[in-house]
Amino acid sequence: MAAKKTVTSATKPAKKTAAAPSFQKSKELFLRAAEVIPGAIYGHQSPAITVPGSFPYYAAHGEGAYFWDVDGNKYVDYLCAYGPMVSGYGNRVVDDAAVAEYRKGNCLNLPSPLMVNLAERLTGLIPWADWAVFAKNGTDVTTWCTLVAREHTGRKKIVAAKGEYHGAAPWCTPGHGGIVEEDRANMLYFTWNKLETLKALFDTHKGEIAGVIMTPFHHPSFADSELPAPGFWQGVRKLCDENGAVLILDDVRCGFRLDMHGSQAYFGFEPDLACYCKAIANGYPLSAGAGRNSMKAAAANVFLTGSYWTSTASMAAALANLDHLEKIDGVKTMNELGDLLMKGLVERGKAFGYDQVATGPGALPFVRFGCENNFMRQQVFCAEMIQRGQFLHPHHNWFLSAAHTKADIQATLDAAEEVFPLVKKHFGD
Amino acid sequence: MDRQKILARLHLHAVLPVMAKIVEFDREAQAIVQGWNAAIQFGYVGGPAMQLQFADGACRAFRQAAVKPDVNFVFPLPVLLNNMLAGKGFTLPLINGFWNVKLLKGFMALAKRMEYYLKELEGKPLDDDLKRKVLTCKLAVATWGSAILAECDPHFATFAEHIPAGGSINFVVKPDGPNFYFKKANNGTFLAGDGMVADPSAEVSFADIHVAAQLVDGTLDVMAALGKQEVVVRGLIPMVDDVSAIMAKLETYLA
Repeated sequence: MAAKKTVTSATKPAKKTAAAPSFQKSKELFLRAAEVIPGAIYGHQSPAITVPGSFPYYAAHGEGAYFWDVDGNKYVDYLCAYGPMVSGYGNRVVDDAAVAEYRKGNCLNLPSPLMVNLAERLTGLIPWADWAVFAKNGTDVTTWCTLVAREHTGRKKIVAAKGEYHGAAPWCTPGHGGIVEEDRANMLYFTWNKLETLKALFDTHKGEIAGVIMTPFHHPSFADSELPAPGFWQGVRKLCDENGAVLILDDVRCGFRLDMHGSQAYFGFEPDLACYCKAIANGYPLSAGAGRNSMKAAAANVFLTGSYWTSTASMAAALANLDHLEKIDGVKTMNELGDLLMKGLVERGKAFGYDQVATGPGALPFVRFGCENNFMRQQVFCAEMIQRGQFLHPHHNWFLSAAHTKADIQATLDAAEEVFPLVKKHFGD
Repeated sequence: MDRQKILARLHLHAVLPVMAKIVEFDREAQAIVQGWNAAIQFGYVGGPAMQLQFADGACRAFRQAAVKPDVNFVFPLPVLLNNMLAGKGFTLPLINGFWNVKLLKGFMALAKRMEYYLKELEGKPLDDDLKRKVLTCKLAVATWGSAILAECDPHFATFAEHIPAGGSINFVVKPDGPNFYFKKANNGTFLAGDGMVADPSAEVSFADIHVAAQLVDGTLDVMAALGKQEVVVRGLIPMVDDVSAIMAKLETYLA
């Protein structure tokens, strides 16, 4: 089926006029929400972690690489719904597959054949994986994989890298509310890229560590992304093997953006278990866990379920989306465009005397002002870019999609050229 | 550090210094200290001290022993100091001379004024002037108390570790204050104070005293207030998040 015609040419960014874009409807909705929803908008979409007042709060619709807020403002989207949008909003190939399943009954008493098809597709796609399971969110599968590691080893402790995000369950949430010490009693932390700190944990807790869970590269918020140093992943693998621990790859954010065969292929190692989510189904709710045969018996022993976890529309969407991404070589597009964006922002920053720091792979880039650690220039920069229709998050890594185009990148860089001098003026640099 | 020692440090270095502020704006307190030229010191054996110095109708707070005190409340155990300052019991310190007895009685009256601002007015409707005074006292306790918990309470070690050395937050109440700062010094110790630091890592500003008062009373939906821009946070938001988490637990010590 032909893909829906997407918007392929971005217009020049609208010069900021005397009147800034209105967020009136966003603000009105927020006030209503504050009456009936704690925090009004909670979690990662809370305005609190952007620049409240300068960012829209509510979205109306999306198409291709763009979305419109409820006030009618259009944005080139470099957040991609925090990752799930990978093939473009409203992608017909994916949506048609999902809609057909909705018509047949999305949530039935029994799983559909699509579940088998998708497990076969994933194990075919991910070279080391022998089986797959499905849930809805990243947290579902990261949490489940830690349980599988415990079941497999008969041990309690799980190791994670400091500052990494693995979800919103008590063992890993970055939030503080409702968390008690016992929730993290069996968590240990090491420093990303410092293999000796992981080794020290294995030495100190000999025979106690069930698993090590890590993202393919380090992408904390409010910090530069960090790629694995040469030999780092191989060193992690070796330490896990020597100590009988399970290596869990949290590929929720990066999966199918760095390599269609999983991010371990990009970095040259193999985990024992892996978690996928965001880019798997282009916005339809689905996450997946995958594993080796050696983990299969333990996996079968760990209870895994949820009311909607075998619903069919998301699985149909995933099958269509993975095919689509392979067919158009979406990974190549995302990484090339992201590289262009990073290079362009660094060059334009330099022209105005700023030493921009660009980190992360092209498909998940992050660029910030190298002259500060408090993100204040970054916040002003992103707020001004929003005024020009460019949705860049000030603190979280950005995402490219296969629907972005070179024209989008150019429009963003043109807008940045207007914004850098404003930042300079604002801070008197 | 055990709970009683932490609580004692909170009483000594977060709560008692508020006395200086109260003497600044409260007429009854000013009347009490009229004519005083004396120093009162508080502490426990082997622990930290604090000193209130009274002169010319004013009060200055020092978070350490300064001059030779006229009355020295030295308790054998932190729990006894905590009981006295929480109004749960009182062990009489050594006192010499009529002047010191008068001073002691005066201090007890002064302590009542502190209780008035920090406890008695809770939940009562207040005019703007009184609300600002209460807010000044409570924000002072909150910022200093957070610095103490960050430094001493092992439960907050992870938060304290997250906060970068040299990192600072300005808490700004618009349009006219009160303003306070919280800081992690380069040597890893924590402190707080009146006013604002230059070039902070983050700034938390409140639209007015009413919003700030809701925050210190624990009745503010902070996330909603951020969206409504009643509270504006700039800069290193995770540091604000860490300090807020610590601040929220102050109540478990001082309630």
